[in-house]
Amino acid sequence: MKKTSILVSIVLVLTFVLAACAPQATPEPTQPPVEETEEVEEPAEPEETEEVEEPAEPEETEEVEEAPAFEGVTVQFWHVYSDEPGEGLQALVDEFNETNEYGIFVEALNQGNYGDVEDKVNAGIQSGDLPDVVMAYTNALADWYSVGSVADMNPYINDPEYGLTEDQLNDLYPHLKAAGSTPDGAWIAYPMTQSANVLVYNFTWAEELGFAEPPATAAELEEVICAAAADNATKGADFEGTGGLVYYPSSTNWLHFLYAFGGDELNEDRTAYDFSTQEAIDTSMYILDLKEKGCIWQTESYPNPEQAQRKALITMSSTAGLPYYEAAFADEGNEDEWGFIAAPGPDGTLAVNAFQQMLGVIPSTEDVEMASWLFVKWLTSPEIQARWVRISGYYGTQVSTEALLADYAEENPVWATGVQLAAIGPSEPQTFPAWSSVRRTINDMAAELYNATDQAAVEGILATLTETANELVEEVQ
Amino acid sequence: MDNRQSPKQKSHLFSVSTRRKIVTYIILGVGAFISLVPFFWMISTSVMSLGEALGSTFFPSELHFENYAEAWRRAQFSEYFLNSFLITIITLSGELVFSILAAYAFARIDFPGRNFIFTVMLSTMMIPAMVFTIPNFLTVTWLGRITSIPWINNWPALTIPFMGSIFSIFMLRQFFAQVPDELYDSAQIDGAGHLRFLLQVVLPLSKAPVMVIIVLSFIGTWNSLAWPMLVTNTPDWRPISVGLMNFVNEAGQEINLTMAGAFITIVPILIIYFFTQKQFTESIARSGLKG
Amino acid sequence: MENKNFFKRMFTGRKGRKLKEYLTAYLFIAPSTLLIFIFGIFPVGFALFVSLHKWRIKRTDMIGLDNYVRAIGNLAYVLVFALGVGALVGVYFLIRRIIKMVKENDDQPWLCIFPGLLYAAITAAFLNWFYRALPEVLDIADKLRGLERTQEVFMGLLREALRAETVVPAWRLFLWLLLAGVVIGVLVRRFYQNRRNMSYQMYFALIFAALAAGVGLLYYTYQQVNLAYVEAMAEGVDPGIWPQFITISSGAFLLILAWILWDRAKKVESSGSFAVHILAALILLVGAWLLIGEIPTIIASGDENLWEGLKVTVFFSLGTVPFQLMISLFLSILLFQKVRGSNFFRIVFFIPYVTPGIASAAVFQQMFSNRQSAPVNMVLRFLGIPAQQWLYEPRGIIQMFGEMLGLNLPAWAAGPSLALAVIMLHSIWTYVGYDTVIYLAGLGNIPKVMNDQAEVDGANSWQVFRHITFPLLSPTTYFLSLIAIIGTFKAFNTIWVLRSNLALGTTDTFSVTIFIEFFEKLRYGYASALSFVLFAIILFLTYINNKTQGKRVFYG
Repeated sequence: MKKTSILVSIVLVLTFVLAACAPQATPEPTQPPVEETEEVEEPAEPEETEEVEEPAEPEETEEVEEAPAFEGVTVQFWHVYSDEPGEGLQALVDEFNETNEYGIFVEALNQGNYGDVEDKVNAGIQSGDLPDVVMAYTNALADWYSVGSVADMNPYINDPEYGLTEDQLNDLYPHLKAAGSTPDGAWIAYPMTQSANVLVYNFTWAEELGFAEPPATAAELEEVICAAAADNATKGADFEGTGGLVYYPSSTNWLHFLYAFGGDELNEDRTAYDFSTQEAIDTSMYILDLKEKGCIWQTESYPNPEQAQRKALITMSSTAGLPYYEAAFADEGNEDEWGFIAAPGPDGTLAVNAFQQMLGVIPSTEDVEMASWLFVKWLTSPEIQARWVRISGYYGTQVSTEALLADYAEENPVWATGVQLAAIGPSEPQTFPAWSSVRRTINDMAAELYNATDQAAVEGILATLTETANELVEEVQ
Repeated sequence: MDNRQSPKQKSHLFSVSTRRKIVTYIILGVGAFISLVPFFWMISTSVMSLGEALGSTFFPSELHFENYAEAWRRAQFSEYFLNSFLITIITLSGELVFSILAAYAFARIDFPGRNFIFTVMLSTMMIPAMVFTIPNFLTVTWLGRITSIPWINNWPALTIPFMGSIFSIFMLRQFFAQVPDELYDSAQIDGAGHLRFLLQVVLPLSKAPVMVIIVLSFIGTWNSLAWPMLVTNTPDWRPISVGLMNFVNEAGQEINLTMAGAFITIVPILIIYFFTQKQFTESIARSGLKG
Repeated sequence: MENKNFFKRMFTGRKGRKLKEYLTAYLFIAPSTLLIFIFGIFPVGFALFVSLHKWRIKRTDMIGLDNYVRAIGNLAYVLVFALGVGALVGVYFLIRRIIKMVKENDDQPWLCIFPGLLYAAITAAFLNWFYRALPEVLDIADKLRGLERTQEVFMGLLREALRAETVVPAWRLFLWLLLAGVVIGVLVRRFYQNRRNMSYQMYFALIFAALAAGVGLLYYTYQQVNLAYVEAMAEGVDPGIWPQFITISSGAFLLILAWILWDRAKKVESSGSFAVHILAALILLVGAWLLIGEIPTIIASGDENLWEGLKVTVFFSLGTVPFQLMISLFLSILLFQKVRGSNFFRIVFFIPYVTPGIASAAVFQQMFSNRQSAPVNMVLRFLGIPAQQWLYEPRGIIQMFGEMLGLNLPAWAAGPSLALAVIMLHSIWTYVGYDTVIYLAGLGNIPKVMNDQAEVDGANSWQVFRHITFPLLSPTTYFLSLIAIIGTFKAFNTIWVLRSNLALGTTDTFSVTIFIEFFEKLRYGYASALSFVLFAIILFLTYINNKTQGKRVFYG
């Protein structure tokens, strides 16, 4: 033991000295001949990348025709899937590597959760070490696009040889192009799958409480959750204070209700943020009212076990949480019928908060960017997408994917209820300037709104939110 | 001055009367209970079923040890455990060797700039940790780019930045300074230089602080999360904390599994602590004295 | 052979042995120092560079002190100015020291001025090179796009960066100065043979460095303030920085004057001492009045989050450190009596400290959940108290007590939020064991004779504790409080785990604010500036702690 540790340390000292000496030595050669290195220093590629950003399609296709093969091009792909979905994705990538006709090799790497990926890309922007394809939410991609670290995919999507055909473009759900494009028209985020923040609803329990149909208006929603809360109040210690709706005041959940109330984040001509609207006030007052009546409550973690224990009639969750709900219900031995519904507004508007799992291409050379796009295109092609949906439980982005999943929908009725919901949307204005920061502010403000005492306070908070949001826009412009 | 107390009363002060003893034990017992309660809770939750874990029971009705197997499998611990051990051992051995050498020089050799260098290094302890992330990421990236070993996604980025530890140097210096000068003088007469004196006399006298550094660095390295995530791209060198975090992200709602996973990661620390606790508590204590 | 002889000669003799000793020391500290320099000190320089830029994800414009002004208002200018003045005062003290040394030893060290000047210039030239080379090296990140990542390419790009037009002259200047420094250093050693030669050279180097830093900072402040004036005037507002400058500087000056007078008063004869004390107190009042009048208005224009964060941090410090120390002192005194199983208790108390903070925080999160069925709420219910929101509760604990008693307390008396109180509990729980063990060691060092003597004198146990044990423990208390205060100011990980937006920011300490700015808002420039503000505060507290406690510490 002693010997080995000494050995290790000696080796370490040596390697360290070697490693540490080298960087020190580098600044010294200031005088040596300049000619030699200049050859290395001026590779033609970096200049070319600039051209890529300006969509100059005809030129590109020429070049591509001259060198059609992507033999030996390696594409690094950062994603967020570990465990079983990660293995499933890896299997798809392996298949691509074996079968693609271009000779592209994709290296798929799991980088933790979305937050980890963001941290790593932000650090990579400083150092220059970035992947070629990255999976992220649109707002993060928009942030990186604003500093030139995400490419506009338009030239590739519209490429006559490798791009999408008219039919393929029309196959994509219509809102997705807008969702992935910046206000100035750059297509920076291509959807891999979709999901939505929905209400998870216990049909059986609601029926027992006397509600045969899921709530169609905000008033009906209030009725049913308050009935559930009242029901649980009689059940004993463990159920005290539970029941109704698990509402955690986060930006996702607050915006979800705002959409149901017909609200929006932007002003009418969509030039600035505006939260001082009647809809936003109504939403916040509605939630405050539910809180006062004791019909909503919070858990410190995902609320699926509570739903399975009948401690919550309705919870708010991403559709991607489906397997965890299934597990929780199975774990409890609860046979209730449950499923996804949309939040209803006062006038019966139904809304969810839809998200897309986006793929972005990082600027490099034209060849690599095109190869990256080809991989993105393959991964999101209906057939592959359908297989990925079966693995991951997300939703497809194209009409033809839906058709391929008919049997899966039949086997998974709950999942099937989400298909339409994801399509109703709406989505957050993720490519609007400063959305990442504004979203964070909304998260803080949603908590403040939840702690507000009266309407005047609510109005004050919303006014502050509007002001802060527009200041944040100024900061990034 | 209150001199009116009888001698009989005085004897109560530091001698141990039964009543006093009982009160003492009660207080200590309560302290121990509070120290351990979160642990009991953690362990008992980790062997509960999910329903029980979320309920109001403190003790599981039946023991679900399979939670541990499940957590072990889903957090891919078998893959990450070895990485964590390697990272920890490499960091520790480097840190120990370098810190012992430096602490010896700072404690026992008088050289120009000694206090200046030491103070400057010490002041880095007061800087908020977030400042270091990005510059150090850039540094390891560049070191990997211009040397022949890759740093990112390899052991150097995970270990070398932590080998220079001012805290360890500070702690060891306190101890080395206490070694009597006469020992050095006699060693010198025997013809021993600094290195031999350090290895043959000082180190054997300083087992305790070395233990402290081993345990504290072990804890630090074993638990580090953000940095390993930042400098690894593949699972090849990712430590156990990353595995646990991935797992917690997924299984956050399954408290019983999360607790089982968290407990698995703590076990090695507890083992190390129990094996070294005697020297450990003693030397922590001594280090605190001459702050 | 010759070589060997040369080395042999070099390291024998008194001088040679000393040289060998130095070399051994430098060799010993080399690995650690190098690593700490690369991974501990370079980042600080880097952060300073970042803090002077608008840097959101990517570096854009150099904006001088704007980030600092945004954080602490115009106080930023005043502080940089004060730093400059401080450097000049340092020059004054260094000169006094040299003169004293010269007089004592009757030396003529004036030749050492030259190497001193050169050393300072070398340092400045190096920093200048660093400042010019850093952006070039950072720009390589963009040039890497689509390049094959081989070592040659990186080396090529690095060479290219270091050979940029602005960098090369700076590097050359540094090299020439370095060469000149070495030559002149050796020459001066030859011509001026004195045991204190090196010390003189170093002192002169320090003087010139401090002089340059002082003058540089003062000029920089002047320039920045003028710039601010130009900008503000363009908008038609008077920023009023100069008047603020004058009030704050004179306020600070008066405070220092009062302090010096107070110090002097002790040495003055008793009759005069009273008058001097009065005078000092008067000056103090005036200075304090000036500062109190001016500073709040200045910082009001700074970042509100920062002051909120500071307030939370102060709550956190005050709510943990004293309690932690009291509990551990109490426990250690109990353990110190020879009770059976004290070793067992020692181990048990220490366990929270070795448990990973994140894991124990997760456990606390579950125990202090807002659920009715959560363990702590169950206990409350058992005691007949309604369940609490704990980590989701933004209301202050004093306020909540007041509400329970039917009082309506003003907002300023709300105290730390209940959410913060849970975090404090976690912190106390973690550190009590560590403190206990150190106190035990402190107790072990108190000579038993003293306690026995006191007992014989008839003191009761409280008196023994109050007049003997506690004073003799003061070094331990000092050490622990210092470590604990620095710790609370730097604490982050566990707070982050226990934090919720429902607590409405009442748990966001200064470190948390910095983290959010860094990794969520991605304002690297501003976050770096905030980090330096926090660094300054910690340094200041350490200094105050040293001054107040350090003096009273009784090293028994």
